[in-house]
Amino acid sequence: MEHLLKIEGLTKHYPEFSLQDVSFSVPGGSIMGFVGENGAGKTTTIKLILDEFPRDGGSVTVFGRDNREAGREIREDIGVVFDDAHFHEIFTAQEVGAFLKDCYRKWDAACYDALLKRLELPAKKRIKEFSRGMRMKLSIAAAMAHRPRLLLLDEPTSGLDPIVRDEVLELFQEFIGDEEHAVLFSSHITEDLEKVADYVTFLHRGRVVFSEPKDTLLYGWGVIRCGREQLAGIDPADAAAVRSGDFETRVLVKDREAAARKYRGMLVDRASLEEIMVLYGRGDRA
Amino acid sequence: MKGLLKKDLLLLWKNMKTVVVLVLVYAVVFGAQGAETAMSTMSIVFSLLGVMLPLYSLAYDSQARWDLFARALPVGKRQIVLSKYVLAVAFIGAGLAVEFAAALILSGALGLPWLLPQAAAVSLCMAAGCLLLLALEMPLYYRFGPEKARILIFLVVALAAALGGALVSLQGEAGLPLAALPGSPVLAALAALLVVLCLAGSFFLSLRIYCKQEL
Repeated sequence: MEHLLKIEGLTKHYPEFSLQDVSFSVPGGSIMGFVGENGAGKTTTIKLILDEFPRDGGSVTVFGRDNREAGREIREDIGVVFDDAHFHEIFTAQEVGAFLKDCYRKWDAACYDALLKRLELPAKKRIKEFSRGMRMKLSIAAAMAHRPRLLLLDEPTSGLDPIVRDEVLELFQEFIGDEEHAVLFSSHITEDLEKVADYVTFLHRGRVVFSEPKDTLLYGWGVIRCGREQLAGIDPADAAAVRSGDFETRVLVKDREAAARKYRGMLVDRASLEEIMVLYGRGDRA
Repeated sequence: MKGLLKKDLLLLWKNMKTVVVLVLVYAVVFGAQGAETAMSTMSIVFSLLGVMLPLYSLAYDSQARWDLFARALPVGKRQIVLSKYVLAVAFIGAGLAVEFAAALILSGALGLPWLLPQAAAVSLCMAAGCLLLLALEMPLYYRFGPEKARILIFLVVALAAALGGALVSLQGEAGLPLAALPGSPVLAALAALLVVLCLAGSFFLSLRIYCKQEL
């Protein structure tokens, strides 16, 4: 299976933050969920993939090519959606298509029109009059109309109502219908990733904590809920993260079934993505 | 670059359609004072538009945070910056073309005296001045943003005007034949070369500033 996006040892230093040794890859035909707290470095990672500014170390390979050497050609096959539509508000959706068609060699005007219709976007209304959801849908239409192979999505569903989110997630799932396409989906809305992602990479303070298949996380990992007194009975080697609250202590484990067998008498639940993020983000690492 | 230029032209037309129409009406009104005045006014109008419009497009881009999206396009930062210069030079060039065409038509069709030499002298000087101003202001816009750059440009232009006035006063006292200089082919060629070099230097400086910015 070809990896459409491969990041190895990616590093970028700033005075107060560093992206350190970020490595993960996105196989063709898959959606990689990219999660992390605000300021973890997700958007920086996406911009480094696009070679918007120089990296301090590591490599980024897109479609088997170094993103610095073949940047412009690679971007012909990448569609990008940011957290807002960065088009001038005076334009209409039709006008956006009119100038974008001269920016991409493979722009498909019929595809763009079809996407506008499917997403129920008025072609001749000014973007100024669009709601937040409509602006995001326009961004998505603009990102997909040139038939890209890789979609880079930076919080594309934030601020959208559940109906629009469902509509948009369906589009992404259709997009990866074959192994020639892939999606890197950065989001705080872990429910969306639980619905559509095949893999999840968690970035915390500039470092990759894990990059695993989603099913492994949701069905393999678990959370032991116990009292503070019972915590002493849990082997630290089994605990990926621990968070003690006033009423209960939660211990993240990477093998729920093994933990359930070992710690009989303790409640071992499945872990949601949100819980995993919170435990890693706010808990104590074992 | 075609897509970027199309975007800028559409954007400027939608935002400034009223201003452009008013300026053209103004030019026609002044033009009623005579063919030479009309042509000179048109040249001034197009040259000033050539200087103003790319800067307005940069300001609109900044407002929309367009560059966040533009940098993801397969066009490259070089083309993003170059498109602004091309837009400006195209407007200034269009002004020259309009004036020369008008000079030919007025001279031929209306039987007026041959107007081209006068038209050329005024227009080329105006165009050269505007191109030099463009070369100055573009890097300032990229470095400081629209608001701060406008203040800096105003100060520089005021300083240049003051120096120019001082030079004109001095030449009278020193007996220097500065008035004869525009007619010198060698100096005209040197001036053209200076303009080209300044524009090229300005472009590379703007590009360097733009490439270093992390949005």
